[in-house]
Amino acid sequence: MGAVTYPEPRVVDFLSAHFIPLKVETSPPGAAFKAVLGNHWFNWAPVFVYLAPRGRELRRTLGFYPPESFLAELRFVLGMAELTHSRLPAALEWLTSVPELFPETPTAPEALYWAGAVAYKQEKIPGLVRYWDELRRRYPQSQWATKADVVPARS
Amino acid sequence: MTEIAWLSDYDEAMAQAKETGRPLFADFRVPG
Repeated sequence: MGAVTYPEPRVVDFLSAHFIPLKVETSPPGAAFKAVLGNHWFNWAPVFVYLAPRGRELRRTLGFYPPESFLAELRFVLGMAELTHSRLPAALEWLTSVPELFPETPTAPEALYWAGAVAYKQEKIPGLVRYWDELRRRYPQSQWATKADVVPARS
Repeated sequence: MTEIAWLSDYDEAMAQAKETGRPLFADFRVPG
């Protein structure tokens, strides 16, 4: 990350504009480790944890992300942060921006899955199915498309 | 801005997150 992703100008700009970046050394484990990771079995690095401003954990991931994938992750997390506040239009905007701007990243199908969840809160099943149908059409091999199969596709 | 302005203090980072309303991104790594 330090050699490729963090120096990328788009990453610098986006992370700086939307997040508070914290770098934590894990040996010895300090206050951040105990507060955030708790009993997590830390056996590989890097581990990334995203926290809402009041401390609620939004996402935890492991391992290297190239710049495009990392930018997709950041947008996804902003969507989840808005969702925790029930700011549904803003959540939907961030989540749908992932498959729109970074369609080839692993986060794109997951973002569509969650866009369906947000749309469900707004419009119930019709909203959900709109995004989950798109998910199944664009990413049929994704585990998220499999999860969406709990609701039948529109014919 | 040309590089990420990393914080290293958890309490300061959480205080800034609360003040700005931005989420915190924490990179946990092994020393090296």
